[in-house]
Amino acid sequence: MASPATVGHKVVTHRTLPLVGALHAPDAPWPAVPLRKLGGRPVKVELAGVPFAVWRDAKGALGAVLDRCPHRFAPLSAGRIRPDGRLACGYHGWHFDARGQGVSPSQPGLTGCSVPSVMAFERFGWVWLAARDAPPGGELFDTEPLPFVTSWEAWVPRRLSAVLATLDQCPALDLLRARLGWDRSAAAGVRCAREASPEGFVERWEGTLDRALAWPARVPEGTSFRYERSFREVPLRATLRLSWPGRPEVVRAELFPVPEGPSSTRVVVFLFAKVASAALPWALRGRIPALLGAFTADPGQRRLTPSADDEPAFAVRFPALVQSRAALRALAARVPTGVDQTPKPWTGYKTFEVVERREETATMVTLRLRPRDGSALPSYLPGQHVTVRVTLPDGARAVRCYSLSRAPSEDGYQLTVQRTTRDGRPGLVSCYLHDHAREGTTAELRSPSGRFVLAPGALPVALVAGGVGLTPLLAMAQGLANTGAQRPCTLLLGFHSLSQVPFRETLEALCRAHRWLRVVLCLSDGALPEDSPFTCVAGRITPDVLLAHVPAEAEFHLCGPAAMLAALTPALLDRGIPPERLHSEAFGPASVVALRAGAPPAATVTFARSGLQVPWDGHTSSLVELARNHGITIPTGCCVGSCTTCMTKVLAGSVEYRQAPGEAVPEGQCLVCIAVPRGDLTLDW
Amino acid sequence: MLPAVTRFFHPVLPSRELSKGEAVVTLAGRRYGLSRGRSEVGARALGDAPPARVCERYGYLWLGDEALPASAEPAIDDEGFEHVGCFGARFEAPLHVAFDNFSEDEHTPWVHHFLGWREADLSRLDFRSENHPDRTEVRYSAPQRPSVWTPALLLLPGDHFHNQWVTRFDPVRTVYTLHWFDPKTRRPRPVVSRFAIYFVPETAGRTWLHTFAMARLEPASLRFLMPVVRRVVPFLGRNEVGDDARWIPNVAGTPFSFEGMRLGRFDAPLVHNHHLLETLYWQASMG
Repeated sequence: MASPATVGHKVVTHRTLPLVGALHAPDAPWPAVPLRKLGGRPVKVELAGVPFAVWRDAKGALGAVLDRCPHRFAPLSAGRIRPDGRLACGYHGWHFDARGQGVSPSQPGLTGCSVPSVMAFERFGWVWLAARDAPPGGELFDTEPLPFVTSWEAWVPRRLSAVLATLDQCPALDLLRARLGWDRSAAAGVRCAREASPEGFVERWEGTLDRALAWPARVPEGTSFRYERSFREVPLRATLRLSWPGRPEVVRAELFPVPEGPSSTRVVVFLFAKVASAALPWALRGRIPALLGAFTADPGQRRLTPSADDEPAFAVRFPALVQSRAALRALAARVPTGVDQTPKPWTGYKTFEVVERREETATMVTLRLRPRDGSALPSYLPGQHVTVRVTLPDGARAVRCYSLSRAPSEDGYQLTVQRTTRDGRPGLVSCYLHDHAREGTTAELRSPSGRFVLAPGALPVALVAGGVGLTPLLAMAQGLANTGAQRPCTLLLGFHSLSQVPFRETLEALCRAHRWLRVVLCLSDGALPEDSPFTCVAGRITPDVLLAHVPAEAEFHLCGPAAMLAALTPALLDRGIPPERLHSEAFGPASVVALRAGAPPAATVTFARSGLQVPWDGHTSSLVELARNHGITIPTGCCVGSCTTCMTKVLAGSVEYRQAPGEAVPEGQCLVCIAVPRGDLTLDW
Repeated sequence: MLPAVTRFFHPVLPSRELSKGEAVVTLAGRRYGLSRGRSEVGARALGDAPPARVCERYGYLWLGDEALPASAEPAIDDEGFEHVGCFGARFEAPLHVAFDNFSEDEHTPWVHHFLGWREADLSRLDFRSENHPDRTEVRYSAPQRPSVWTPALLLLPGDHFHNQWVTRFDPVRTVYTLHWFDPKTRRPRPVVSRFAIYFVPETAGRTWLHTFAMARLEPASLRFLMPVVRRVVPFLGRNEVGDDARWIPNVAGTPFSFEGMRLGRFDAPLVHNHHLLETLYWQASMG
């Protein structure tokens, strides 16, 4: 058995899908759907390629969850709203509250039925979505309170970067600016300056009106005007503000370019105005259809395509604007624009080739693999694993799971394998990979999977690893760095000695680049280095050590040997860490711990129909694995004792379970995916 | 391109739709022209399709390899039943998605409108399934939901619905046997219906379900009602299959693998079915 094995290990939390990616940043709300579109049925909204089902119950409460039932992946937006306000899937009736907590009505005892959820709130007639832990969105535009006039939205068949880069050419804004500021003929007398700010940047355009304005106020010709355009990254929005120095009138538009998918963007505009007459906001509102018409009058959206001919003239006249465009392009590159363009996961196994081998430590080797057919690879969530199938020198095939040991990258998947032994016997696959994997060696991989991924939200992050359990957590730390979220993160690693710590250079580079990241090494040999960029502690990881370096309000991610988890998990629970903030994954023979405590040292398992008798010596995680090791394939589904696919008749003897079955098991049957024998056992297989 | 499946006879067209002239059908992405002569129906492979032949059984045209012997021609388990109709329904989804839908009845209260039970009666649902090396066997039993159609099936309020089926893979087909009984005495009601549904992949994204409806009436003293049953059973069957066909585009993108799904106990046959689908039907890895 090798490094982080996840098949059959229980998971963790329901908030595990890439919602934060879709939401761009944990505390960044997106305008999702006008409230008026929410009737008695749920509505599908797509943000950065991730679909959400949004609904409002009869009492007006809002909910938003991933638009995919966890059961059989039916879209929840095709479901219905129950009288109790829960969203019910239209396929099998699984129903969910606004936090995504789910129930299977046909199997009420089934656990793990939840769906990832986000926070939904109403403001300015729109439903906004934000990560669950985001601050309430009641004060979205509180920098300068102005009366809200109206909102509208336009769908643009262009990717976000194109929309951002040419937002100043948007016909509606042109029109707004031309009506209230200047037109192109007057542009020569306009000054433009740009200032960077921590949140983005601001452009200021100033000049003198070459004509009188009739609305929103009577402004005579020759009055100076100020037009400010600022961009903020979190939440991603452009603010356009028009004013006339010395006069009370102000018109401000907040534009939210919302990436819908890889090639489409919705621009949601909220208009605010302060004018002398109370009736004038209504006059502005009346102008909106004209503005909207201008926005959509050009079906090809040619004006949203940057014109190469314009660029030189712009660069000479308004160098600040050209700088702004570069900044916007950089900003757009940081915002997820959809997942549809990315390669899709494959089914079954795909043949990969080792393209790089790197020795990390004396017992750990890192392999980078790429598909032999050259195809593009689907991305994955940091923390996920791949199932690897290799053909051993004697022709036998063996399967193991390995965590991906870095954040997604275009140049292949990276695994880090620890050479393992168990009770003196070499690990079958890990030793094969150590001894035989070279550039050109092939292995078969299933698509990345697994639910042990970074918990979304804004809470601090604790990544706690024992030994090679570091691999998924390193990927999570890199993933955090890639989002730019600056979420406080502590990587607490337990090793015997410094020489056993892999990825030291990578960790150092991460720490140097990101001040929000801290690495704490717990070295059980007590030999602490004198000069280390990391905080070093003598001894093993204990709850006291852990809580001394990590705030108690953090999301805890634990990965390591079962013994480590067995020691830490109850202790953390005892100290008041709620279970929903404890995410863990064991590797290695997790079941052996339970087995050694309760099972006899040896037993004989008989597979009656196969006519096979095999010894059970406690080294196998379950009866399914025992069967598989002897050439008997018992169909399995969930591998955690819930789906009952593997239900098998017990002809003689009895079993015990290494975790509680999700379903009542009828007398005389057993779930072999989680069962181990209590003594001699005969199965009907 | 899907693997070829003509080593089994598949129903491809109701006989009545080829009264004369020629029709083109597609089986696993391969096109065939069917034509009716004076005495028999012929099949012409189009494009790269391998040669095939047609046989006519149960009111349908069945397509298989040219070399398939007569012993391979279809035989529906209809002993004791009278054939009361057959029909095809198009499912805009891959084979495994349409097939999964028909491998469980858990969806009954939400997708269907007549057969089966209400959500309120879920606690009284009885379910059993067995996996075998060549087939799956499943049984569901629960109170029949009220409907205007229950009198037409000679049912009384409170009767229980029982659906028992066997799925095989040469080709992919399920034979559902439906009956109703009085839950107090366990005595069956007179009408017993059977639907043999063949799951026929037209392309990678479209599946046809060809259904053969059968029924019987017991005791013999009630056989005078058979004309009613002959009409009601296929009508209800067509409606129920239609409910599934309308829903199925919602889940058409479901992957073949169950990776990431939170399966429950009613999904146990699905997992085994996929294994048999790969090994017995496609005989090729879908990966």
